[in-house]
Amino acid sequence: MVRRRVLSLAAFVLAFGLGASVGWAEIRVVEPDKPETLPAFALSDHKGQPFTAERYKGHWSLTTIGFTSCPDVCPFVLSNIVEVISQMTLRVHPDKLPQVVFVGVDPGRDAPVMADYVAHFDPKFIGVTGPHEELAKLVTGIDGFYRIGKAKKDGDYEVQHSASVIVTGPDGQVHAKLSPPLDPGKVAEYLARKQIAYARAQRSN
Amino acid sequence: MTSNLYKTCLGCLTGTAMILSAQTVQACEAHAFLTTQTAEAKTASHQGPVMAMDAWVPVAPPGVKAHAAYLVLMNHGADLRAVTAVHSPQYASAAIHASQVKDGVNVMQHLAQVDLPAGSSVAFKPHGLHIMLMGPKKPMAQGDTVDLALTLDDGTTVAVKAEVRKRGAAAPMNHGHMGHDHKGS
Repeated sequence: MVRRRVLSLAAFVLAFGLGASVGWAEIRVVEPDKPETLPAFALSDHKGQPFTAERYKGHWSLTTIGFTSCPDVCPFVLSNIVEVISQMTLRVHPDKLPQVVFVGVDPGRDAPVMADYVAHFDPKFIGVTGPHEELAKLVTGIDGFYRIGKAKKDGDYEVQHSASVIVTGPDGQVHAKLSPPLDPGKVAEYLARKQIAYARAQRSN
Repeated sequence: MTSNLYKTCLGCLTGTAMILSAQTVQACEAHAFLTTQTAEAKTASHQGPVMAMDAWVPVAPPGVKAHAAYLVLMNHGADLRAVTAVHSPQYASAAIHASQVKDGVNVMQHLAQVDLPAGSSVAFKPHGLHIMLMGPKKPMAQGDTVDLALTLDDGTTVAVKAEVRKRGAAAPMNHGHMGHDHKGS
């Protein structure tokens, strides 16, 4: 069991002195004691290209789990991430903007519409799906969860999935888990500071 | 719900800088008056004690068959009412759902009805209560109007016109100027 510590923004206010105007607990971050390595998995992106753990290396990423026929939460979270990225453009170099990965855990319904789906939010977003056994590897690797419910009379079925947004670093490892709704400005600030701390740690190594 | 009522009315009072007695009843009458005006401007409906406003449907990604509608329902009557069914001629089916996070997992719950306590407002908003619209009969684009018929427990129907528009910074999730933002829901 990996021991985790839960940090509310209040902890960052103390640590970084962001100022008194910052509200309590508006972003919730869970950071592992040590960055966690992603397991091997073989999925495909919305362009049909292989998507493996390698695709996480060399840049920061934000990953969220969902399904394309989710009417409320998934589009809400993705739009929320669009705002985070837009806030980050004010704080970091364009090369440092995180890659955004949407993991569709309902491959039958997700694969046919994935390209249009992610492009609707941002043409740079990456939509990923694949067989359940491969999805399970990535989802478990980011400490996530999903479950496909039984089909109802009309053929529709429920999909339950973790709510968090996973932050991975250029080392391809999991550095943090954010709980939506994400306050765009505060999350952008958190991520920018995370990048600075990471770069500093890399230099001193 | 008393506190919600209070917040709603207070929002209205502060928003318009009207000087009224802080008595809840009066404040609410003022609120009803103001929302009627707003509702007319936004082509919302006002047929009975239950009225709808700020109804919108976010533009959905192409090919996606599940859409959501959001709105604020206000019950200005003296009796508890409930929404028991939703219908839209533009969709194969419609239902009331609530998105919830349980132990860090997103779960969507189907609701048989949503209570509308007397003198109160209930917000259907992103990441919460919403009307799920399944199977659009034709693609919905920005600027289109979705017709919704909300059936109440007394057999009456509230007709609502929801505007299809982009999600964005101006989405009503954060607009608290009328005091409809139910914190912690």
